[in-house]
Amino acid sequence: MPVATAKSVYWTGVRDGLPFLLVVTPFAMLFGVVAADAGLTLGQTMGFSVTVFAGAAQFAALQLMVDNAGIALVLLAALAVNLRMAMYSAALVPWLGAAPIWQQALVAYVNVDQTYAVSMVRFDERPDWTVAQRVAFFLGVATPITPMWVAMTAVGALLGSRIPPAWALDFALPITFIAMVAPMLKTLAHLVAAAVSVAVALLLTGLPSGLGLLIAAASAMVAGATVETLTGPARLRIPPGRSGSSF
Amino acid sequence: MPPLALRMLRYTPVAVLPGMVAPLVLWPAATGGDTDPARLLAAVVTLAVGLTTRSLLAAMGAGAMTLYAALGITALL
Repeated sequence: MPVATAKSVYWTGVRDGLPFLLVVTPFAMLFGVVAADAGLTLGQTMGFSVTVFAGAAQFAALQLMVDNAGIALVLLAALAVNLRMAMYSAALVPWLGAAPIWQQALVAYVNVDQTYAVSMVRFDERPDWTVAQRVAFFLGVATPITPMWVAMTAVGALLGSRIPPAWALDFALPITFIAMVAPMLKTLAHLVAAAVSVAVALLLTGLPSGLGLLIAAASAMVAGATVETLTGPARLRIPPGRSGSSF
Repeated sequence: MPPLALRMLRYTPVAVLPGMVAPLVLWPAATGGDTDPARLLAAVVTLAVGLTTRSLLAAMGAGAMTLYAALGITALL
């Protein structure tokens, strides 16, 4: 396959990734604002955004750090929120498993809900694509998203320290979490899992910070899986443009 | 991975985030842990808009507007 073909596939990916800037831009700014509000320096905030590069997990970890939860709980919560990335990676193996390991590592780093969802749809449509073309497409989708996430985090962090308390920024985080979760409540199993999570977390607020949440999350996962067993399988793949879950 | 593990993993985001957010909504630290009608209303509107539109941006926008409108009205009263 000539280089030109992989190149044109890459630009197709860039085009497919552009609409997601609408989600990424405000979300990344908000993370910067919340991090500054929590007392992180600009350097710490940027380190967070560049190394973790995971919207929901970053918010979750930050919240627990503000609550003075232990580092093990912070890491566990961040991992738990982003465990679906492991599922995405598993689902990508048949398509990209033959690519060189450095390309796989690159794909793994920029693998988020948006890049995953768009790429899986395209890979299905274009079974004629080579592995190199699929990698090019995936990286194309990530090209507008990744730098914008990092840059907008910086903008938010710089603005954040100048915002007065009357703006009620403490509530930016709850609103963001609810807005991320609501579109995910697609099946009865998801609804039950969310309800169990809320109920158990509220019952266990007396426990040391983070511990009640851990028990709540475990109970909710069991509840969701149980309901799914009773009602039939849920779809794993997210329809394009409707992911709205991470980031 | 075994199917049961995969099935449970599928619910991690909806299992973690609601439990994390519920105490923040009911007992916000900014009001000393007292339930704040403005914040509660904003949370309800965010959830309702998120459920109906399935859009993260619409839900966030509606929630923020509700919060500021409610806070403004509370301050005037």
